[in-house]
This record gives sequence, structure tokens and C-alpha cells, in this order.
Amino acid sequence: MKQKRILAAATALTLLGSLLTSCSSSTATTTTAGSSTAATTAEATTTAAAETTTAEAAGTTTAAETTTAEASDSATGTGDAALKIVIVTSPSGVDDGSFNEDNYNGILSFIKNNPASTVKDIKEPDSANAVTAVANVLADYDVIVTPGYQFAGIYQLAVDNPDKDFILVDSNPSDTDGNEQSADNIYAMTFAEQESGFYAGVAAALETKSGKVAVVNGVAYPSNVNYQYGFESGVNYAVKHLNATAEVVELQQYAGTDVTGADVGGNYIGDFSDPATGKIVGEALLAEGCDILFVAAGNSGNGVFTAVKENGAAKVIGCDVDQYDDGVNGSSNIVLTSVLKVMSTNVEKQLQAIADGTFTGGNVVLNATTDSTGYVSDPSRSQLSDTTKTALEDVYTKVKDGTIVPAANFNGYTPEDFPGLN
Amino acid sequence: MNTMIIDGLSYALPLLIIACGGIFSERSGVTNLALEGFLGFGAFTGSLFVALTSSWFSNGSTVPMYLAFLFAMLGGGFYALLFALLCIKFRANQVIAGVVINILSVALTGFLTSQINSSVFGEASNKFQLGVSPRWTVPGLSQIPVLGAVFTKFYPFEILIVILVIFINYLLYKTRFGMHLRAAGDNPQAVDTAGISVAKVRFTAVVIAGMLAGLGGMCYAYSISTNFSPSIYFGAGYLAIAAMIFGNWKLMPTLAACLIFGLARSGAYQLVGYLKLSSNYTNLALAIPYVLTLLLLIFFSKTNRAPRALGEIYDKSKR
Repeated sequence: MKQKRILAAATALTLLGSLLTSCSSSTATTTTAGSSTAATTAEATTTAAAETTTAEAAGTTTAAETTTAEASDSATGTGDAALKIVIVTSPSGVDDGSFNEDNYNGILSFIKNNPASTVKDIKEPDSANAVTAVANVLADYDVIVTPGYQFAGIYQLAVDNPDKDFILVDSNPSDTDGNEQSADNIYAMTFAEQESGFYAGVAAALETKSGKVAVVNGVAYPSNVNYQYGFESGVNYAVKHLNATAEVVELQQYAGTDVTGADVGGNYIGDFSDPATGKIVGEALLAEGCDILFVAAGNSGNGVFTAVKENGAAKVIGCDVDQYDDGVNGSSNIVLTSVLKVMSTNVEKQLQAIADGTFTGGNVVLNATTDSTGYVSDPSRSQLSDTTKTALEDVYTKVKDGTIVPAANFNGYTPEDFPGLN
Repeated sequence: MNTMIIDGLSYALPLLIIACGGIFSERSGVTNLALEGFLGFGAFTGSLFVALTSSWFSNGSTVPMYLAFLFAMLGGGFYALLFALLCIKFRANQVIAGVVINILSVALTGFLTSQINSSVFGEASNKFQLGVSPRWTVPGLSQIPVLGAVFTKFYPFEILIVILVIFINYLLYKTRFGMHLRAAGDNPQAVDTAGISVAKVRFTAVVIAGMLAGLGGMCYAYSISTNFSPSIYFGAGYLAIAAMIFGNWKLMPTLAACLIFGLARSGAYQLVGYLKLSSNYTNLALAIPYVLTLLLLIFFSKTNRAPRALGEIYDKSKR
């Protein structure tokens, strides 16, 4: 008897354990709308908002009219569009202090201006399951924000649900055969990484004391190769035009092979989530005498940061978002600056467009012309010298007006020969 | 060569201490797949301690680091209680309980880290930042060719682990407790006949396993990422189990296995660099130690012997 009871208890505990697990890994609800009254208002007005976006029904109540009327207001930042937004992310979640969080912040600032809107964040631990996760919750929301290339497959979903709007970050949608597509209700934003890499290269070349700099990447996907080529372009530019003395160090055992099978050089860790190997690569580069490393390697980059922290004298340049907080090393900081993909303002801009009814889908490469690439120059979040800052400002304007076009994986230029260098 | 030894040791020694945890648990007769979960939870507790108390210490002080190791052991041991409770008290299937413990640990630490960061520190982050561990070099000894690398740029925790392993060797093979423990894994009936509680011995062994694995996890948190984040679960626990089995559940062969894994891992990169091969061969070189392990196992597996009562729930009434 006793044994049976114990067995039952064990089963119950195991069940409880697995339940707990699934709970914590799936969702953490965040209602940012403030009070519960705001949430109810949201419920009440959604239907009206939905109707305004589709064909105007003749008999819509005044609620619908107010929404349209308010639309002009919202452009100035005081709208009350009631969008139900959901953000589906990788398991690191919307508070990862990095990529996902930047997107989430864009949503939050939209909600600040449109308090009737709500957001819910969902974590999908299995990237192969990302699209299914979106499909499961699709019915409950108006706008779906999906940061990351694992969501490229939402194309079919978007076509099947023309009344929903999708914001896809850092990837273009693709159909089930993997062919790139575009849809009217998907705004897919990718970034000109080579521009960000270029700022990093210029900054590194100007700040190095040993005359040796390097770039560390994760896997030679186009986005990473863009960063690498951009960085090399930046160093070459600074050497030729800004009197810098610097050379780019590449270790051939870490050379990358891009998606077409070509050897692109550089230093590739081979993985985005292997900090242990990242540290080995970082140490190898420091042993070669590099004193500034540009790190664009996702989670693997953490290992490079550790290597640099232990080294004490070297510095890193962060990537995608402001990584200054990751660089704390006792009383000092190893982050020289971070080069950015400005996702938050672009997400906010598109949400506002949806609220205003001016949303149009498409696959867009964002660059300096819309201030979507950039670098951190705030003295409390970076350690650039004044001369470097002045030089970077000059370079930034030149990239913006097209005088300089840094080399990218597939834009036909090389780091040794691109517009603006010769 | 030097880099290979320095890197290799800093990777192999934490692996060894985790494997030691496995030895404790399995020699007492409890199959332990939960090492991965233990090490993560241990690292979580240690890092939480650092995050909570770092403001008490002067900047750059290493005191929090040493205390973190202590708390990691406590946390790992505490978490292991749950596993011991499931396996020994409630007689759950040990393999399944181990897997559950691992999954629970990943989810629980990730969840708690985010929650504590937002509620206590008011910042949105899934990481606890740690300081950087100092690295020591012994002045005279480090000049010796080849062998000197052992005394160059090592982490303080490496010394701690070496001392612990010597103590574990003594505890397992030279004390009454060690004898009871090994007997509980081979012939629990005999232990029971001698008037010693098998459950108690196994309980202690599992908790020790948790403490050692927790320590190992904390070492990796310092040496690899200098923060605690879910990336601590990179499979070291499973690799430690492999090293333990390859080491025939004995301490010294397990040490050898850990060293092979550690040195070969850092050596593979050096080899490819030295031979000036393309990076395509790096993965191949990384596979060498495992292929070697497989081959060795084919020849030596005859003499390999798991503890006889491993994985069996001890039941007095059964003969």
C-alpha cells in the first residue's frame, strides 16, 4: 500500500516538474497598457480598428469614426490606436538586453504613445518550431513582430491571413521551398551591416595602439560576411585617408566559407552559441597582438569578451545593440563603442503606420539614409577619443550621401576596392 | 603548445570535478544524468550571490568569487536533494528523474534570473554579470619548457579542484564512508546486512554529486562567459558522464579522459593552424579525440565494468 502511495506521489511530482517547465519556458505575460481599464478599452475598440483597415462597412458605429479621426493625431504621437501586438522571440526573450529587447523597446514606445494598445511576448525555445508558434497565437492578435531569421517561413502564414500584419526583423520572408518572397502584409527589414562594420573598422583603425585589429564573426551567413567586409573596408579607408596605421589580422584556421562556398577569410567561430570556442578564437587573436576586436558573433561573442577582459589591455567593439553593459570589467570597461542596427525606431515606425492605415509590406534594406545604422558616441556608453568621433561623424555623412559604399558579401565590391576608397 | 595546455587544463579540470560528482553518485548505485542540471543550478546560486552582494565589496575584489564557489556548491547540493528525493525516497526511475531535473533546471534558472533581475535590480536582463577571475603564474616554475605551461596563467579554481580531487581520492578509497559508498553500488544487500542504511549512503552521495557539479558549473561561468546566462547549459554535464564511463567509474582513468577531451579540444585548433589547413578541417580535427575514445573503448570495453547495482532501486524485500 505504502509503496503505491509513494509511487503516486512520485508521478505527481514529476508531472508538476514538467508542468512548471512548460510554464516558464512558454510565456511570460506583460501587459504594458497600465491599468485594467485601459485593457478593456482596448478590447472594445479593436473591432472598430479592424474594420477601418478592411473595406469600410457602411454601418460602422461612431467608434470606428473616432478611430479614423484619431489616426491623424497618432502621427503626432498622441494616438489611441488599439493594436493587439504579439512579439515571438528566441528563448533569450524580450529582456535579453540585446537583439530581442531592442525590438521590444520599439513596441513599448509605440504603446506609450498609444496607451490603448497591448503587447504580449512569447518565447519559442525551438527555432525549428518558430513558425508554428506564430500560427498558434495568430488568431488573437492584429500585429505580429518576429525578430530573427528563424521566422522567415511566416510567408505562407501571412498569405493565408491577409488581415494580420507582420513585422519581420533581420530576414526576408521565404516560401516553403526557401525562395525569397515578399507580401503586402509583411514588412521585412534587413540592415546594411557593412555600413555598421565600416564604422567599426574606422574606429578600430584610429584607436589601435599595436596597429593590429581583427573582426570575429559567428557563421559566414551574408549578414556576418557583410560585417566582416564592412570592417575591413573601414580599416582600409582609415589607413588610406585618415593616416591610421592598422592591419587586419586573419587566422586561416578560422577562415569562413560563405553561402556560395567561397572562402571569405576573416575569423569565424563557426557557431552563434559557443562561447567556449569564442574564447579560444579571441585568445588566439590577442596572442597575435591585436588590441581591438570587433565582435559580431551572437552568444559566442561572450567568450571573446571574456578573453579580452582577462587580457586587460585590449578593447572590443560591440555589435547590433549597445553592449556597454556586457563590457564591465571591475572598475573599467572593455567596450570601445558599439555599432548599431537601429531596430526599435523602425519597429515603432511600422506600428505607427499600421495604426494610421498607411502600412505597406515589402522587403526593405535599411541603411544610413534613414539613420538605421550607426554607432554609439555617448561618452557615458563609449570610450572614443574626440578625434575619432570627429572622423566618424565625417565618415557617417559620407556613407549617408553615398560617397562611400563599403563592400558587402554580394554587392560586387571588395574591401580593397569600393567607392570612396580610391 | 603552451596555449594548448593552458586552455586545455582550464577546460578539463572543471569537467573532472563534475565527473567526480558523477562517480560519487554512480558508485553508490544511482544513475546520474542530472549533472547538467546540477551544474547549472549551482552556477545560478553562486552568480546570484555575486549579483546580490557585489556592492558590499570594493571594486575588483576577488572575495565574491571565492564565496561564489562556496555558494555554488551549496546551491548544487540543495538542488541535488530534489533528485535524491525522487530517486531514493520516492523510488522514481533514475533515468527519467535525471532528465526531468535537467529540464527543470534550465527553465527554473532562466525564469528566476529574469524575474530577479527585473524585481530586485530593476533591469531587464537574463544574465548576472560576474567579475573576471584573476589568472596566476608561478614565477620560477613557469619557465620550465612544456611543463611550465601548467604553472602559467592558471585560474585559482584549478588549484581548488586539484586539492578537492586528492581529497576525493582519499575519501572514496581510504575511508569507511568510501567503502560503504562503493559497496552500496555493488552489493547493497551486504551493506544493509552490515546495519548501514543504503538509502542514507546514496542520499549523501547524490548531494555530494550536486555540490561538485555546482562547483564545476561556477568555474565555467567564470572561465568561459564571465556571466551567468542560460548558455551555461552547453553540455558539459553530458561530456562529464562520457568521461566518467570512459574512465571506468574510477578516479584516475576519469582524470585521463578529461585531460584528453580538454587538451585535444584546444589542440585541434592549434593543429589546423600549425598545418596551415583551411578552416574546413577544424571540425574534423575537433572530432579526433572522440574517434580516439571510440577506438579505445572497442579495445578496452571488456575490462570496463559498471557498478553492479547501478540504476537499481534498492528494495529490502527483494533477493
